[in-house]
Amino acid sequence: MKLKVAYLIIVLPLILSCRNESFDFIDMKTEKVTSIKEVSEVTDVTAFGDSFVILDGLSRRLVVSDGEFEKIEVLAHRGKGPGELWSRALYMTSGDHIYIIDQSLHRINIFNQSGFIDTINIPQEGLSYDITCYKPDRLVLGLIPVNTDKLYSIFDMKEKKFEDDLVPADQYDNPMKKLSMNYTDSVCTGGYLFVAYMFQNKIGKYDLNTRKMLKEIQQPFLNMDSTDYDAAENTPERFYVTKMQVYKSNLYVLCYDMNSISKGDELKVTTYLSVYDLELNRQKIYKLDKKFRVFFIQDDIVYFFKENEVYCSSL
Amino acid sequence: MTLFTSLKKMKSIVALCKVFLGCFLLTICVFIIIQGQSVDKGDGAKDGDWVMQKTSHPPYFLIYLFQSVGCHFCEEEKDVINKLYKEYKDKIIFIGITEGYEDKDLEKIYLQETGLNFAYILPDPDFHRWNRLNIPTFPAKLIMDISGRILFLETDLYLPGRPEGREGIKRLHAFLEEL
Repeated sequence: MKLKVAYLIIVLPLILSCRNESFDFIDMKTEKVTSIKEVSEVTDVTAFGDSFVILDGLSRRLVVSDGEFEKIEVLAHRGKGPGELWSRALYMTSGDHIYIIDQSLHRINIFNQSGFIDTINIPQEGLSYDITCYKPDRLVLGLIPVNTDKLYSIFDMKEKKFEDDLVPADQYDNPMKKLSMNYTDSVCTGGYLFVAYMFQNKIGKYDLNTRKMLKEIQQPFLNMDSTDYDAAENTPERFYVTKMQVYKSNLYVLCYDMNSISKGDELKVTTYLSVYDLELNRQKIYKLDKKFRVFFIQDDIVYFFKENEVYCSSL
Repeated sequence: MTLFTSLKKMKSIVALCKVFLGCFLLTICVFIIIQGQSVDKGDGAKDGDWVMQKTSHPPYFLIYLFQSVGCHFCEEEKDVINKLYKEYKDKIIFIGITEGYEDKDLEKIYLQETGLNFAYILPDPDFHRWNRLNIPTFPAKLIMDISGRILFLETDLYLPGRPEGREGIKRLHAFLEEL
């Protein structure tokens, strides 16, 4: 009897660990709220007080809106002057203020709810593609790894210089692959930096004090217990991670399935909004039948943006 | 008899018309097929009328596809490409991709002497795969976004000594200014 129990104790965990991981998707229905006529394409959204701040990379505009997206005020237009936006590649983050990095002008424009405050020029050490707030006077900037093998650097806004390098770039022989596979989005909270690799479907957690990676996970999206699951199709490059947000001690990651774009005549794209705790343990995965690249969560409502259209759903 | 002859004539005219019509339709079909095979420029853009697409996602890459040893057009164009790189390197990532050469020592010398200033020059053993984009000839200038969407593709030689070359340079300048 004892022998049987011992056998079960040894064998059962083995059997259980061999089972395919299964999880349920939660279907998320979205409803169109409105279209913002002052905007061509929403490229990023953040909240500032009770308002939404919307970045339009196509028209190079920054607009502030009330919670219903009815009262819209344009804070910045296209231009090279102070407080104006020039590049098609604009990236935004919010902390005490709104920070927008203008890629080709190598500068950060700082705004608050009522408008432009200041511009900080950054050293021309590469093309920046991402920005996130670390401390009131420190930002974390992503630099495209052309002449460097680090993806992020801490930028001191008072001294106007880069401090430490963070997050080593994954190495590939092919430079095109190196650039695309190291394309990331990041979010910073509580001294940790979360980095999502857009074409690798991978999320890493870094400690900003020690500069070390604490954990790295791969997002398994296909339901492995389903009959139509094909392991060969579940490649990391298939899922395109677009945005992340920390909300109520959880990390929300938006990504869409690139494989679903080319299937059939009708354009059908599945978007996933996955939820992790800050230790990167998966909590749940929402599934949407529309393609969204931008989202923002406020008061348990998820807002999705498609061109200038706003959709919403509750968590 | 006269009626019979005129009917016969009419028949031959109708037949001739049918042949002409058939040829015309065939030409149109071939034209449509050729048009269909060209790279999708999206948003109804015509030749030389490249537009920034709504669906593009930065960052952007300018890929200069050039042949290896012996391509004197590529060598002639390199000064123009280097000037563009100097002007727009803060906007777009320049990558040179060459088809490579079987004599690797010669290839190395060639790439050094070609003198492109970009950080990335890549001899691509699978260079032929670029033909899937229906690129008619090389060197080619190609701009794509991070999601792999092609926004601009031209194979006209950008030689400032030729009027059409100057037009080409102007088109690329205009496109890059919009980025």
